[in-house]
Amino acid sequence: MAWKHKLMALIRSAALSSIFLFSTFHFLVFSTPALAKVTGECVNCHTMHNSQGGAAMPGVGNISETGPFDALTRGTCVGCHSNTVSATIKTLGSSNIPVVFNTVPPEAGAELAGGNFYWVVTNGEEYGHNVLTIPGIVQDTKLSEAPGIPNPASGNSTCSGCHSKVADCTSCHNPYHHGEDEQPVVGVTQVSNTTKAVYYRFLANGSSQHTAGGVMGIEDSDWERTKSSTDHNEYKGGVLTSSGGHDADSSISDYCAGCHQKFHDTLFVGTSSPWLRHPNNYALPSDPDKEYRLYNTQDGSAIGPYNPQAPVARPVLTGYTGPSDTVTPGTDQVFCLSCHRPHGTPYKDILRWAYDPDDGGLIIAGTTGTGARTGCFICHTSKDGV
Amino acid sequence: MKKLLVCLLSMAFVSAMGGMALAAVSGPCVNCHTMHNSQAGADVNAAGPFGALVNNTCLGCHTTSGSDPLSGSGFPYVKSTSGAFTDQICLAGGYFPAVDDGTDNLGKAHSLESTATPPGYNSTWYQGTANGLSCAGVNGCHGSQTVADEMGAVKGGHHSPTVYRILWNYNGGAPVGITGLGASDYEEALNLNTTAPTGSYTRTDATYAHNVYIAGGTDDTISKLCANCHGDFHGAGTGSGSPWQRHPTDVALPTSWDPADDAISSNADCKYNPFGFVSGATNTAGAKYATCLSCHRAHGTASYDILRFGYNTALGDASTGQSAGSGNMYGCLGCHSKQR
Repeated sequence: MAWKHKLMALIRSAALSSIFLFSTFHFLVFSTPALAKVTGECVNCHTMHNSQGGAAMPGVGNISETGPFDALTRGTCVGCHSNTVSATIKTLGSSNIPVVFNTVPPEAGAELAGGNFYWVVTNGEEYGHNVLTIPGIVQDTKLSEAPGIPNPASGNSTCSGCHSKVADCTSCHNPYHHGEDEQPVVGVTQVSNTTKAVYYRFLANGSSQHTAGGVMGIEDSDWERTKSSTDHNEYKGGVLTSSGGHDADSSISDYCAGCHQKFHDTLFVGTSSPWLRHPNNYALPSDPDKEYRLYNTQDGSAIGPYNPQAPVARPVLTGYTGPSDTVTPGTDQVFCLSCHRPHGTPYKDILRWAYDPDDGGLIIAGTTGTGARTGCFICHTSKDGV
Repeated sequence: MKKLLVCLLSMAFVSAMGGMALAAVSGPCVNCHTMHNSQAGADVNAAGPFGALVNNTCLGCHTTSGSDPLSGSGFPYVKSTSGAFTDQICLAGGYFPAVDDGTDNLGKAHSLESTATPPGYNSTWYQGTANGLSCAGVNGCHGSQTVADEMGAVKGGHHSPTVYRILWNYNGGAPVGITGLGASDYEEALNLNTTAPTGSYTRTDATYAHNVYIAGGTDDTISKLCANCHGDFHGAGTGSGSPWQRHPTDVALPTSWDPADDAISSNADCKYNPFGFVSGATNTAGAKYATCLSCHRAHGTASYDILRFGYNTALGDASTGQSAGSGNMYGCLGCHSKQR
């Protein structure tokens, strides 16, 4: 039982300490294969003078806002990407806009991959990133800075030398909706931000020293509103970060580490089992004597397909032309989004599943109930009771 | 009709292409003037007399019942009572509807006689809120905005033209004439023979005469004229740089944009997204500017908001809007090459 206690302690430690892992995803793009780069009628999103019929141009947001807005848009980030009904994708003319903030419960089963700030507003600060520009979200009362951010005086900090916490959407996103992108892997061209290259879900602000680079990935056409083993985002993995900084490997986890460096950097995470904190950008062990080789097993004896509930990252996306249902232990990696979503979820610590008993936690070692083969157990296949 | 025919041959504002001197009106005085507004015991024009002894109003003279926006003698029309004018059959300024649309600021033309406050108005001179929008003077666009009488406001403009299309920037009460190079046919041939290109095309220099609009930081730009009424849409009201808060005017296109990087203004550019220039004499690579007239015409068009092109298909004024990713190269996308 000692190993079981140790493992559970490790899982709990990693999860509880990963309160604020990344951020806002899925911005204004449209449901065509070329996702990162916006298409559709200009009028859907822009107003040239913030004037129509002698009055201010009606906004497209579902929250009260007063223009004009930067880039001649018809709303702020939050305004455009919010909704007062449950739909998680809203339509403006010919354009589909992913919703990150529903003021009512998001349509069950149709939540987008990035999650929803509804849960932060409704359930509290533990349920998402505290993006202060969203109505109803206030400064976190428990956290004065991003968890896992090193003390600048330690000499081990990168972003924390200047930044300490999320302020608004642009803390994570650099929303060059019309920037040049590539397909199918967005963000391949790692060039200066000044050229407005597009990165996966516009995640570029926090890249190394702001000078170059951003996140790479393959963007699902409906932001995972529908999802399956063959219908999902593909995330970029990377390397287990060496001590004291970033690796600028275009991985989503390296990006999260901009604020949560202690949850990523080997100086704080460790380099091998037994880990000090849950690793990320680390390949699922393929050892025949370890449980991870049976990722998402359906029968307890054979590896299962990719599961969007606990996704893996691919250390190299070259050659990928779309989502794959194949997971390869020894290569594919656990990463920040294996457990968390960036915006908000119904579960504390922005987890993808009920972990804390307060949320009706289902992740109970030895369970044969509803929680079996879900959540943590998708990777930790021997810890449930089936 | 007879009154219209009386004034067919005058007031040209003709300024030729390529820096030629602004053309003065020529022809028999009687075509346009009446000494006493009296002939054979009757008024020449029952609504008269008019200032400068002209025999009709601005719109009275510049309205036709026919379908040619430019008479054989070079007289420009801004309205056809027969409704014959279209985006293909009109001059550079566009056209007023055959019948007043009756909507203030919501239609496809400047609403003459409207007493609405112009959108974006941030000045003190405009008297049209009491008197109704008109062509010239304190209620309009042409001539000096310091003069109440329309003919007084445009005085000298027809016989001794010194400024582009008799247009002046109010400039705080010290009017500055607008500079520009006017096509001798007021772009009649350009509009008639140029259609919106579908998809991409190879841009070559325009083959039809076209106006050249002056832009930049001086007080004589065409956009400064528009800002007389729509001040919030120019200068500080737009922001100071990217990301802009309203579309900028009198601002150069970034040189990283494709159309800014060459010395070409194609027929399609000139009709659907004309660039402005600091100097009208050259079409200089890297020095193309956005002006109000890059998107709008002055009088009216077939599109809402007096746009030169279909913009919003939902309004039903055009079958084709402006869409990012469409591959088209005119209108918004004539400049915004990265959005094509």
